[in-house]
Amino acid sequence: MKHLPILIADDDEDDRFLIKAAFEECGSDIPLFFVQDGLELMQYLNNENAYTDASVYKQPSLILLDLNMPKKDGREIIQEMRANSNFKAIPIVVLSTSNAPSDIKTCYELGANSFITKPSSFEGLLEIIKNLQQFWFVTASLPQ
Amino acid sequence: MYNSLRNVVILFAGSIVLLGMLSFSAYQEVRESLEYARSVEYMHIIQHEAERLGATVKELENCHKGYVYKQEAEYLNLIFASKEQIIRLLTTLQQRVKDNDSQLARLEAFKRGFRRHIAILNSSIRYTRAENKVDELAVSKSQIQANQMLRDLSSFQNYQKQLLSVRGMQKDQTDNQMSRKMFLFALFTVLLLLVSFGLIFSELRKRITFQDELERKIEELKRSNSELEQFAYVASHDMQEPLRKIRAFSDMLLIRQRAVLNEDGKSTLQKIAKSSERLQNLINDLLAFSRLVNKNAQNVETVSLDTLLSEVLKDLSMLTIEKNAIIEYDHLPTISGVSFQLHQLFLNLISNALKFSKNGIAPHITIRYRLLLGSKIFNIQEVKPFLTYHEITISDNGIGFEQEYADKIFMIFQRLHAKSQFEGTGIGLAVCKRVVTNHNGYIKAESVPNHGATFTIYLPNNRNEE
Repeated sequence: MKHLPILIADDDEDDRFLIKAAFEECGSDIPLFFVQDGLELMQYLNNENAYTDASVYKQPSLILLDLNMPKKDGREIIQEMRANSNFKAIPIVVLSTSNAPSDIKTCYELGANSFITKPSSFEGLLEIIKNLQQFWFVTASLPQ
Repeated sequence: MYNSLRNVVILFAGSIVLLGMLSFSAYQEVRESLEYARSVEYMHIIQHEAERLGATVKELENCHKGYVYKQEAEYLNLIFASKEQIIRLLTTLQQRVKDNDSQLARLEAFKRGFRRHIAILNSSIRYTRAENKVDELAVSKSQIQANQMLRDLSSFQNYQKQLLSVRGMQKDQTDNQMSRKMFLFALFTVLLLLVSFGLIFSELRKRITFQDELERKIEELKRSNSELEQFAYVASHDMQEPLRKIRAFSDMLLIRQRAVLNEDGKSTLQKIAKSSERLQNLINDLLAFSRLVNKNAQNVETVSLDTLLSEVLKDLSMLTIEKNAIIEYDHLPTISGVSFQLHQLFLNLISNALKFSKNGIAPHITIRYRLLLGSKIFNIQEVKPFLTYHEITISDNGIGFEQEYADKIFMIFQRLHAKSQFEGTGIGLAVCKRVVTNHNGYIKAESVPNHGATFTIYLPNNRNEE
């Protein structure tokens, strides 16, 4: 069966590249969409501007969210999504460089589903992507 | 600073002594004046009595003449009364001048004259009574005798007058001296007070200037300190980003291009990975250190160092077993502090003791504790001698170090050994020092190469403040 896409929000081009490479390395067939900031992410979800074609830009099964982004940061996104009945159920995995306890606590309080600190090695990233796939797409059931 | 304070105290003491002398002199002056007034009054009384005596002598002579010429019995009574009066006055006067021999002698002469006068007078009265006529010779003799007595008396009076004027002169003189003395005292006191006031004023002004300067410096220090903290945090935080990518990309290259890379390429990539890992550790340590410096994030609680030490030893149990180490420790106190920092402190010190052991010799670490007064702590100038301190020493039998490096080892990223010999970034002891400083304590290191090292921590006893 064909999976719904994973939406990845990260303002850092290198990080987007690394995440994409990691997914490829794992042999994933899940479609990936990338946005560069919070504003674009909301546009994608609402099928606005460049993302009007709902048959291409399907509602994501999972969101990988960076915290510190321009225009609208990750915390605002979580807040906004959890307040909107259309996006309330979409799982959000925070993928951030931060490992500050205060950030972690805030994200969970706002309604993130998990918090992952970006690893500093590609190998670590591979491990995380493999785990993510295993957990969210094999072990866990996602809302349809 | 203390010199000028001493001067002020001396000046004030001098002023107080002078003021005391001044009031004593004033008291003396008043007493002398009173005494003088009394003595003047006394002299006037004597003078008055002497005058009365003279008048009574004249009266006696007049009554004598009255009797012999008029032969009225009334005069005899008057003569008797006058005689009595003269004797009484004479006795009083003698009593009054009993300290003055020359005046007594004059009164004695007067008394002798009086006796002769009475003798003449009596014979004259007897004669008149018997013969009923006047003994002219006796009358004139009596008059001469009375005059003689009056002369004696006037010499007494003159002398008394002289005495009075001499006393007056003396009094004037002492008054002058006294007022000059008092004026000098007062002048000197005012001068001393002025000088001490000047000293205090200048000292105060100096201190106010110092205080202003100090406040400005503290403000400056605070600002540069917070800037430094921010700098260290931001710098290390922002350095993490590109470094993380260097690691990730070289890692990715190694994984994805494994098939096409030759050995040289692989080992180069591994070297890049190793160097970036080391840089990562350094940055992490720096971040941790800058968090340590930032005092806002610390919450003080009651920490049992006994419990904390057993936790640390548990953390190190693998290494301890691996090295066959023996760790001895005393009962440690409970203090108020930041738990995770103190944990870090003990962890770093004990793991250092384990790490820098001699090859082939099992580490022997001794942790000793005692409570002692600040005055018993030597080599550290900043300790307050009247506070009590917890002294905790951690000694080992390891490789030690040259004593000349005892300060250097506490500096951030300072190492005494090659990286290949002992691993680590060189931040451990800097963290220790920072933790101890955060707890208002002191740490020192002593060692002889190859004879172990001893680290001594002094933490102020919190009960000092209660």
